[in-house]
Amino acid sequence: MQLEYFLLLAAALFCIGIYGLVTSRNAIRVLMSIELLLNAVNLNLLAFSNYLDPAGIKGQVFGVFVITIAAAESAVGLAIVLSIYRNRNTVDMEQFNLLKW
Amino acid sequence: MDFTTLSAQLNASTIIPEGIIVLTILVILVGDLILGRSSSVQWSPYVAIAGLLSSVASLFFQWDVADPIAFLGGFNSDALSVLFRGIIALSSAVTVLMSARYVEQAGTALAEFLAIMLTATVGAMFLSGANELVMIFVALETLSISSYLLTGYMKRDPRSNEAALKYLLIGAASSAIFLYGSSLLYGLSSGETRLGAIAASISSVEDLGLIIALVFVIAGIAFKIAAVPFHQWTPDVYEGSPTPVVAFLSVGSKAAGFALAIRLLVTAFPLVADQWQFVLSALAILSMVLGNVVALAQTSMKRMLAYSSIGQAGFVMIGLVLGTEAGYASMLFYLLVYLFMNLGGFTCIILFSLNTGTDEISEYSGLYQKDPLITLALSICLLSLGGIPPLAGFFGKIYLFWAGWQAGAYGLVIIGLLTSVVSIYYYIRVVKMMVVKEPHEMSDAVKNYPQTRWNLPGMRPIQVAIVFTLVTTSLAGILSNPLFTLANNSVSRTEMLRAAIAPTPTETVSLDTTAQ
Amino acid sequence: MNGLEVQLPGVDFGTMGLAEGVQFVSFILLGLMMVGAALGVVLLANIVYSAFLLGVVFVSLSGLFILLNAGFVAAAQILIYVGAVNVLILFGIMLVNKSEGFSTIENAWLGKVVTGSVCTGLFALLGTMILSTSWSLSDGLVAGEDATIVIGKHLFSDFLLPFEVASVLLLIALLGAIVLARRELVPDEDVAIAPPLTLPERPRDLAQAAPQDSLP
Repeated sequence: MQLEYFLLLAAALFCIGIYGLVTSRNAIRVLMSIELLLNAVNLNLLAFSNYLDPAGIKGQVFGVFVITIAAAESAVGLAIVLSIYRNRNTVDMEQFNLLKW
Repeated sequence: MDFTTLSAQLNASTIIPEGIIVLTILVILVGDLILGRSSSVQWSPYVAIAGLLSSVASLFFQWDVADPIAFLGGFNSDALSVLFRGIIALSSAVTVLMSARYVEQAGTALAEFLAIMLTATVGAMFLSGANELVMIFVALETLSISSYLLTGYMKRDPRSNEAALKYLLIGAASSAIFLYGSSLLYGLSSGETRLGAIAASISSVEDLGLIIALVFVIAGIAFKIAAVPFHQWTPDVYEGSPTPVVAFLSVGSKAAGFALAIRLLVTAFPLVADQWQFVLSALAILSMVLGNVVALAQTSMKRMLAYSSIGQAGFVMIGLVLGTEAGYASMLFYLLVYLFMNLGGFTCIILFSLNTGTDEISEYSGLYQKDPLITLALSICLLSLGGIPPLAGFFGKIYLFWAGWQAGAYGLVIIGLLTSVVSIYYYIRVVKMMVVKEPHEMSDAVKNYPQTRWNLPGMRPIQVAIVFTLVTTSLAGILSNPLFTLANNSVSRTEMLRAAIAPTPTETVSLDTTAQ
Repeated sequence: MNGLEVQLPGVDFGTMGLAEGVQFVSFILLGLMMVGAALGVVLLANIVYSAFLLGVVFVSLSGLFILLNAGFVAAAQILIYVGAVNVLILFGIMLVNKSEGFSTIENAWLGKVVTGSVCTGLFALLGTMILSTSWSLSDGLVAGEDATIVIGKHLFSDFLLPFEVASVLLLIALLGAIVLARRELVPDEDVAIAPPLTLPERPRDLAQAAPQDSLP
C-alpha cells in the first residue's frame, strides 16, 4: 500500500468531478460534481495525513472542516436551485441565459 | 497544557473587532425574532452600523500590538491585516447605509439581509488575517457562502436567482480547486498547515508539485478578485444581484481577496516568487485591457461598473506583483481611495434606480436639471475612478504607476496608462450625458423624475452615504497625506512583508534568511 | 513496491503479509467501486441513478478513509455526506424533478469529447506530478487508535478559531437557506412600488423598448 495509489485515486476522482462540472446540464448534477471535487480533496488530505503526518493528523482535522462546509454549501446550493426552479420551472443550465454580455 | 496557559497563548484579544460584529449579528437576529419584523426595520441598520463602526474603532487599538500572532499561529493580526480589516468593515458600513431603503423597497426582510451581510464581513475580515490553510478555507467559505445568499436574496426575480446559481456553481468549483492546491501544499510540506511553516519546510522540493499547487491556488484567488480569465461570473452576478451587494462584492470582497493573495503568495510561495509574479502580471494585463475595453460597450450602469471593477482590479494587481515596499503601499493606498469612490458611485446608482426603476446609462441624460446632488456625487466619483487630477483616484493611480516605474515594470505601467485613458472615456461619457444635455433631450425616466423624499425610512442613510463618500473622495485627493502615511506604515510594520522585501537586491540572500 | 513499504498502524491481525494483502484487495475493490460510481454520477442520463451512485461514492470513500486510519472522518463522512448531503440532494431532485427532456444542442458531443480529453490531460499531469514528487514519508509516532482524541485536542487548541468561525458559517447558511427556499407570503402587493422580492431595476429588454412581453 502506498501513498501514491491514494493520490492517484484522488486525482482521478477530481478529474471526473471537473468533467461533470463542465458537461452537466442539470444544475443538481453540477452540485453533485462539486461534491465529487471536495471528496477528492478529502481523500488527498487524509492520505497525506496518514503517510506524512501520522502523529499530528492535521489532515484529518482539515477533512472534518471540509465535510462540514461542503454540507453547508450543498444546502445553500439546493436552496438556490429550488428558488430558481420556482421562477423558471427548469433546472437546465442552458436555459439560464437571461444575463448575457 | 492547562487552561490558563492555553488561554494566554491564544491571544484572543486580537479578534475583538470580529467578535463585536458577531455579537451584532446575534443582536440583530434575536432582536428581530423578539420584537418583530416591522420594528426591526427601524433599528437594525443603525445597530449594524454601530457594530461595524465600533469594530473599526477597536481595530485602531490593534494597530500597535506587540504580539500579532494569535490562536497558535492560526491568525495574524499584523498592521497589514488591520488595514485590510478596516477597509472591509468600513466598506460594509457604507453598504449597510445604502442598503436599508433598497431592501425595504424590494419588500424583503431587512434583518436577515443585514445578518448575512455582516457574516460576509466577518468572513472577509478573518480572511485578511488568516495565517493557516484551514483558517483560510473556513474564512473564504464564510465570505463566499454569505455572498451567494446575498446575491440570490431577491428570490422572486429570475435574474437574481440566475446570478446566485452561477455565482454558487463557479464559486464552489473554484474553491474546490483552491482546496486541492492547499491539500498539495499540506502534502509537499509533509504535514504543515501554517503558512510560515509550509514555506520553511518546502525549501528543497522539485518544481512540478509546487507549481501545480501554485496554479490551483491562484485560480481560487483570481476568482475572488475577478481577474480576467476567471472573471466570467462578474458581469452576470453584478447585474443580477441587489445593488448594495454589488457594492460590497466590488470593494469588501475584493479587498479580502487581495489580502489573501498577499499573505498566501508572499508567505507560502517564496521559492516560486518569480513564477507567481509572472502569472499575476499576465492576469493584471489581461484584466486591465479586457475590463476597460469591454466596459466601453456596456449600456447598463451596473454592468459598466462590473467591467470597470475588473479593470480596477488589474491596476491594483500592478502593486501586488512588484514585490517592493512602494508597490504594496501603493496597492493599499489605491484600495483605500477605491473604497470611497466606488461606493460613492454605487450609492448614487442605488438612489437613481430607487427613484426611476432603471439603471440604463442612456436614462441618465439630463439628470443635472432634476437632481444636482446625484449628478455632482456621481460625476466626482466616476471622474475619480477615471483618474482625473485633483481627485483621490488620480493620486492613487500616480502612486501605483510611480511604484511600478521605479521597480522597472515598464510594460505594466504603460499598459496601465493606456487603459486608464480608455477608462476615462467611458466614465466621462456618463458625466457628459448627465450634465450637458439640453432639457428637451432628457430621457423619459428623468422627465418623470420624482422629488426625492428624504423623510422616507432608510433615505437619510443614503444621503449620509452620498455626502460622506463625496466629501472623502474630493478631499482625499488634496489631503491624501494621512492615507498615504497609513498605507506606508502598514507595510513597513508588517513582519511578513519586511522579510519578503528586504532581500530583493540579491535573490540568493532570501534563501539564507528563510533557512535561519 | 520499491521498498518504501509503510506499515499501517493500528492493524495487527494475522501476519503482516496477510494484513497487507487484505488491505490491498480492499483498496482495489473500494477504488474500483468509487471510480465506477463517480463515472456513473457524471455520465448516466437519469439523475436519480446519479444521486444513488453518489451515495456509493461516499460510502466507498468512507471505506478508503478507514484504510487510512481515519475512523472518525470515515464516520463523519457516512453521517454527513450519506446521511445529510445525499438525502438533501435526493429531496432536491424530488422537489425539482419533472423529468424534463432537455432540448438537444447541436454538437454537444464535441464539447464532451474536448472536455473529456482536457480532463484526461489534467489527470496525466496530476499523475506525473504525484509519481515524480518524492514525498517525505514519515516513520515517526503515529496517532493510530487515538486519532479521535488528537482531533479533539486540535479542535480546541490550534484549530479553535476555524472551529468557532465554522459555527457562524453554519448558523448563517441555515438561516439563508431557509430564507431562500421558503415560500414567501407577499402580504401588501400594492404598497410596494416594484413587484416585491425583485430587483428595482427593470430587466434590460423591458427598459429599452416599451414593456411588450414581461418575464414569467
